[in-house]
Amino acid sequence: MIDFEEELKKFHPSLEVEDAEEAIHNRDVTDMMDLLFSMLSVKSKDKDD
Amino acid sequence: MKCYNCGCTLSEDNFCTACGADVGVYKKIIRLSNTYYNEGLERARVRDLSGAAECLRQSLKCNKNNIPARNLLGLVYFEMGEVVAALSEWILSKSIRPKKNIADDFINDVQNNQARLNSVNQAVKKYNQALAYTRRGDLDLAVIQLKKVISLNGNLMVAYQLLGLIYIKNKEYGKAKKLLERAMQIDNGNTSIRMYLQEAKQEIAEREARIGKPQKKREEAITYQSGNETIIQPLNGPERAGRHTIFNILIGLVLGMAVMWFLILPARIQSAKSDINTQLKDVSEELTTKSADMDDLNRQIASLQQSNDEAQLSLEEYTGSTGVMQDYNYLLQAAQSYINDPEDALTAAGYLEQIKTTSGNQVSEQFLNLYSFLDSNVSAKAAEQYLSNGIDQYNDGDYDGAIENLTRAYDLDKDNDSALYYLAQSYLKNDNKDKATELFNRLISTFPNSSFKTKAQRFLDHGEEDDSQADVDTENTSGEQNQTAPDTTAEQQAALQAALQAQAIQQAQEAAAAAAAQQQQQQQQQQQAAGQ
Repeated sequence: MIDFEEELKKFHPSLEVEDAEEAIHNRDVTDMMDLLFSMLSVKSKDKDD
Repeated sequence: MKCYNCGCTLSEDNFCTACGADVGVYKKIIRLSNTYYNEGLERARVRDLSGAAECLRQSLKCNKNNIPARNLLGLVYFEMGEVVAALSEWILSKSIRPKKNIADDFINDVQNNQARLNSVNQAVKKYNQALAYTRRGDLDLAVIQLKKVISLNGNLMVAYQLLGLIYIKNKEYGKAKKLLERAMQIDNGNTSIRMYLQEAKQEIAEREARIGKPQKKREEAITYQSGNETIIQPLNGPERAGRHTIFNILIGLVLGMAVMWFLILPARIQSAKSDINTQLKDVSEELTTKSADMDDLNRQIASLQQSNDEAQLSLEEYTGSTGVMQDYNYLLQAAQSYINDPEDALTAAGYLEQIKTTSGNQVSEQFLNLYSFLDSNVSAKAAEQYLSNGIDQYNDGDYDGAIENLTRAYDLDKDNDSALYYLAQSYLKNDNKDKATELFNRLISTFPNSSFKTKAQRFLDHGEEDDSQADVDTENTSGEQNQTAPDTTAEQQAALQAALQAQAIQQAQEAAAAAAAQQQQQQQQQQQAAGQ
């Protein structure tokens, strides 16, 4: 049996065209590569130290 | 694959041959991203848009610079109706690779179709509004809005999903099923939609199991979408259609008869009554006119009848036993009698007595002259003869006869006191003292010098009756007078007789002509009355 309220919570408002610019600007595009590079940079910094 | 450090093309080794950087993990991440992209692509091909989007997001989480994955994700978002999300991905893709990027074309296609973009934007706004209604509890308003959203953007999956949820909430499982099946055609990998659809089907099956309707009946209906409306048209077999047709015809007949009975028939009846009343009124007026005419004719008939009666009376006066014609006859008979025997005064006098009209305009002057002549010549003789006969009868004791003759004698000769006296005596002898007394008194008053006065007076005073025989002197006196007449009037009688005959004939002719004219006039009047 479906719980209407619980299912309703899964719904979120959609983006309108006017909100597209802000949504793109605030988008977090960090990926695994970025994490890898940051990890490598920290490692190399530690090595230098 | 390029080295992340120096940008040189990498070999199969896990290090860069140019800069010596460790690229083992780098390569794995790239491969993982590509693997997710491939998975996403496969899912997108089978319209598992939700699964494709998830895989592509994973691919981009691994490598945000995976342009194909980003472009494909944009496409998937666009197909799911999320146009803004699609544009976001394409714009990011274009920012990462500005040139030779298919995302440029996608963006241009969307931005060039402003009407479509506005429609999509309106759909998003209405969806957000519907979501707000739903959270507020106004499910009816939410349903209305969501239907409009679907009409504006038929691919917006979240709208289908929310509307399906609301239908399930309202226990409209049929609508939910229909809607969600349509959504499944767009994106068959959406787990929420699958779950809702399964729920709807399960509830429908349970309901059918409770009602006991065969599943086949459901399949006999044709359902299709017409704008916002879902039209379910049952497939009726020929029998059902036939029965319904007959039933509808019967209902129509009943309704028609009811309309006739309550609306049309009273008006027709009223109209007929009005016509009948008009005709009745006309007939009544005609009847009244005819009655008036009949009354008028009756009055005319009465008037004519009266005229006829008067004419009959007039005719009777002329032709009846007491009419003028009869008087002419009597006059002629009297004249004839006198001519035949001038001494037979009684016969002529008898005829003259029958004559009723002795004056006026009903008889001619000749009639009156002849009557006067005869009366003057006959009356005296007749009076004498009547007196003589009366006295004889008196002496013989025939008092009734005496009364009759003496009455005639006195009527013819008012100056004859003997007739009056013996008439009174006759009444007295006949035990009619009152009449006798009257006549005695008349005798005394009329003939104060009469020889009979004494006797009359004695009776009146003392009641003394005269038993003596009647006196015959008066007869002798009348006889002597008559003896002198025949010697001198023989020639006169002859001439008189001729003149009388001519006069009588002329009078008779005139009388007959007058009678005939009157009779003809009466007949004409009668004919006129009968004709009217």
